[in-house]
Amino acid sequence: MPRVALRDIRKRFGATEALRGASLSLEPGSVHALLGENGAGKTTLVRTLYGSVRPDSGTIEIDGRKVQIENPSRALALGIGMVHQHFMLVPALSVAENLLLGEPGSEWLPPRRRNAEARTLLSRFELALDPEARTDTLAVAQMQRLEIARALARGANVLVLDEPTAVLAPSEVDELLALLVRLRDEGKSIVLISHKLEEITAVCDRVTVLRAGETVASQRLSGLDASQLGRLMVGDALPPPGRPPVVEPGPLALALEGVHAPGLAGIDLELRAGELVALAGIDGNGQGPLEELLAGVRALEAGSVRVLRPPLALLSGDRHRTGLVLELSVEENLVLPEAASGGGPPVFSAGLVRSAALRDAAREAIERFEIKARPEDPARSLSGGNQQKLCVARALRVRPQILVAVNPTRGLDLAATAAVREELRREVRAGTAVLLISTELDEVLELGQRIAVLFRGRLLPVAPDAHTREAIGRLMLGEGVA
Amino acid sequence: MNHARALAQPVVAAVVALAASAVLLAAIGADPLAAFAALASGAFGDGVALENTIVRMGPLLLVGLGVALSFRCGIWNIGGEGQLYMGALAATALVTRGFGADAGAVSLPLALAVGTGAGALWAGIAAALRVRRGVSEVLSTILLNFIAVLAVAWAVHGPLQEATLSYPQSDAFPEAARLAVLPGLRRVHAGLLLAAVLPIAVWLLIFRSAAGLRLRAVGLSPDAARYARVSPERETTRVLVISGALAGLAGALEVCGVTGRLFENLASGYGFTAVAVALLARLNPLGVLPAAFFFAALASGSGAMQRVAAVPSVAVQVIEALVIFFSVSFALPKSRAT
Amino acid sequence: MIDATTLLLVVSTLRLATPLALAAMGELVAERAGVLNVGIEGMMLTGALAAFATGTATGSVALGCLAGAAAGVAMAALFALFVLRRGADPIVSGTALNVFALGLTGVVFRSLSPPGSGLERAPQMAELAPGLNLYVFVVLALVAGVALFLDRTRAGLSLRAVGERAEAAHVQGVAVLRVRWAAVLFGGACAGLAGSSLVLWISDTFVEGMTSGRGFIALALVLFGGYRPLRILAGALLFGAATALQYRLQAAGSAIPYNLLLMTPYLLTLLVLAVFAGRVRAPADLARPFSARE
Repeated sequence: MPRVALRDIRKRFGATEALRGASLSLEPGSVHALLGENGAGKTTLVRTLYGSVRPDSGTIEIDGRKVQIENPSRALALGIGMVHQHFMLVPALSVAENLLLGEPGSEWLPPRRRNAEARTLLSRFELALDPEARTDTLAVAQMQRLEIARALARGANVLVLDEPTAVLAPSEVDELLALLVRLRDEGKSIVLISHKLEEITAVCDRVTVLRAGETVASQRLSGLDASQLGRLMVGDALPPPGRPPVVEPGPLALALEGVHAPGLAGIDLELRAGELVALAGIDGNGQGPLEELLAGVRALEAGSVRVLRPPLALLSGDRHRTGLVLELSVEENLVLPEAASGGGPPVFSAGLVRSAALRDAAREAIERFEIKARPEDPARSLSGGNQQKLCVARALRVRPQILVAVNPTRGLDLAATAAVREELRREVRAGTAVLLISTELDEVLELGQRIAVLFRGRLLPVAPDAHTREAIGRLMLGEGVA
Repeated sequence: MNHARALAQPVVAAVVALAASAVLLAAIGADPLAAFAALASGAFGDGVALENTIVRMGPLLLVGLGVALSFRCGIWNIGGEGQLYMGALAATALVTRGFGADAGAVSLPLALAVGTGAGALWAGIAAALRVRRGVSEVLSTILLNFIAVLAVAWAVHGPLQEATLSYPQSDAFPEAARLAVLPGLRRVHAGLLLAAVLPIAVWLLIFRSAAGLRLRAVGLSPDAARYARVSPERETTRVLVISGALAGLAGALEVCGVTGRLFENLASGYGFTAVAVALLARLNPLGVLPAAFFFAALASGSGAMQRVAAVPSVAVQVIEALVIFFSVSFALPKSRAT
Repeated sequence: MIDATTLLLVVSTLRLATPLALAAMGELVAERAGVLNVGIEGMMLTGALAAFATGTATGSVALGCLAGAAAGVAMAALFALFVLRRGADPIVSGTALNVFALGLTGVVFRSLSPPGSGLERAPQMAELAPGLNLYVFVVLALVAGVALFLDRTRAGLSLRAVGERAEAAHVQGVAVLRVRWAAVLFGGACAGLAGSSLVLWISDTFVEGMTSGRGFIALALVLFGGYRPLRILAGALLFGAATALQYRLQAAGSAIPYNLLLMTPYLLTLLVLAVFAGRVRAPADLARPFSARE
């Protein structure tokens, strides 16, 4: 009898059907891969198991008994633990407080007892953490371990990990996978959400593949190789990876010298016209501060940023928070930077909007970038891919000489990813200087003419003959750095 | 959202609020129907009543437009009352103590300009406190209300008190500093012509200008606005100053057009009523006109309600509050954390 | 030996600090749970009227206190209904609540004592010593209780987590909305009690709008105290002292006009906000709505 069985789960969010008959069955003592493209419904499916999404239809069985999981408390009581993609820790609380949050026990819990209880738990799970440390001072891998420890402390038999390796360096990935194997041998059922095929083939026993909200395969993993898994995931053959554009670099466009800011410890970078420089690195090594600096929302502490060939346009790494004003329409988002600079022709005249010109501008962008929307639709109503195309359209509207793109394909499906990457190549061929900051190693390898690695707020150059996953992976961990 | 719904929601909110107040009135032993009838006849029973209502609508309209504008930028200017008082105070100081009385034909425009400026400055304090010191404008504008009301009280007991020193009020304004009453009418003054123009101007500003796009972007997402090189600080300051200027103008119009002198309790509670006006209008400047008329009718009818139906005039505030409650449960504008 | 003037000043400081400390303690708990309650002014005012009406009707101070707290809770429930249930904006809803309270208390007060009828006096909380009575002990117990609760109990930990990151508390099985409801109702009880102290101790009657901004001063005190109970108490005492001093100046026939003296607490509050508001780290999820269900 499976420990957990999700059968024919359906869930609709507004107009989009996130799950259209998804099933998942977990055995004790196994690591189960949940595989699928971005947007295939993996996260939604496991959140129904965790009680944070209520399915429209379908059944959930635990140990053969049909259950309703109304909320996370119920899931915890049923022995289901979850390690979220974005950690569910309270940054301002201590390690001990996060560990004990929601845990039943005596009401009186003074700091001394809290820390002692936490110390016991931490040593049980072999975690060398200071219970009094504030959680936001921890490294990413430590936060992840804290989440795993917390789930196990609450008695989880089923542990769901949502893309746990996306934020880890290669050697940290190996450690995590080893831990998962150990937990499996103790009899836990583990769900590993990933779209990294080599991780799945390394540790998983079974695999369930989701495509567009539907379970398309569920089987033992042995006998399947990476390319067969890939085909199951995307349906057709994988598209051939693109190559970096080949263009002779032109004059210097952007120069960073000795840039210091919170999170940046001395960045030197030269970017030339018609050149694509890609910065790899694990999240949290300075990507955010560098983006904010180039967006002009963060001040320098020392050093200089020289824009030699303006204008500079930025494709933000967070469409929802900083890229778009979701409640404004497509056309309003498109011309917002023009409004910021006071408003000029053709869309504005004497500070007022010329409606016909605005509509024309929007129609032109929609056509050129194949955005599936009307000019007056609120940006919120667009799919992720169309939102990103809108961001690209807006960035290119100023005819930038320098384009900074941060994780430009995060969360997009394959078609949209290809479209955005092709747009970047086209810009490079047209002579724009492009700086790509991406945590997706494959993207960096596919697009970067020159590659460097962001590590602890500094740039580690990658020699042209070392553009390989292994070499860059080592640098991402800071290997060879004093 | 379709237009029928946009129009229907405020009406439903007002009706539900009136119904809920009827229940409350019945609960304290009053006859709700008699009270509402008295209120209606007091508000528009005859020409005089209707004119009174229109006169009362003026300040509510101006302050309400300012509130709607600032709320669109995610700024809660609850200080309309204080800004109005400072506008009235500055205009009075100019007219009765400055050169305003001797300035002949320019004294009226000067008084209105000074009042507008004083309202802008008073709101500017809240803007500076928010932008430079991180003080929520909700608290600062409310505190500034108390201070402005006391400043007016001090002025009419002290430096601006009338020459005869009989009452705590200023000298009456000379004719040159008064707004003319419109021909054929008894109370409706020329300043109220602004009521026909300003809602459209503010609508153009919010929805058809670069500045309006900026301020809405800031109100909806300060982070995304900043990335598009819009400065939330600058928009915040600008919006607060404009909305303070509108309230200050309302104060100057009140002394120059309606009362002809300054006294205490000139327009008490108008700041809060203006919040109700803006919310009932769903933050749409064009809707502010009918919404201001609705609340002006409540206010001007409340006296008759108290006389005829023996329901305390403060009951109107209950209706006001209920309108806000029911408006926010339909439309949900969101404030922006400091 | 303390002279009589100083003693009077101390007594009056304690009296004036009491409603501020009570209301601020309630606001602190609500804000630590992530709910910004700008409606405490209205809750205080309603509490004051309920205490007056009950006190005069029954002659019992204890019942007056209870009625004050209960009225605060009722108003808080109305606030929570809109903010927590309907997801309405807390600032607009709080403002509406203040206007509502102003109108409601006005209507009820006027129907209780119509103009022209003799002014009724509410019974007074007995003082053990000048400036010392049950209210003072309630304040001290409340400050200690809130401090211990937040720091040293499991429920306090849950409440802080809800205010800092509601989503994270939710996935650990904390009932976010229940915690917030409890915090808001507690804040309402404190505000109502604060209102009762205005009638049963500081003045012996009810006056329309008698809270005159004390609720907003309490909001500012929470910031002044950096969200810590003891510091908030210190802030309340400071404000009490400043107000007491201003009354002394008035009584002594100061050259400063009365209306300008009355500005003192508001100016002081603005000053305090200007100095402290930017430095204090508010709970990260303050005034962010939470919905458990997708």
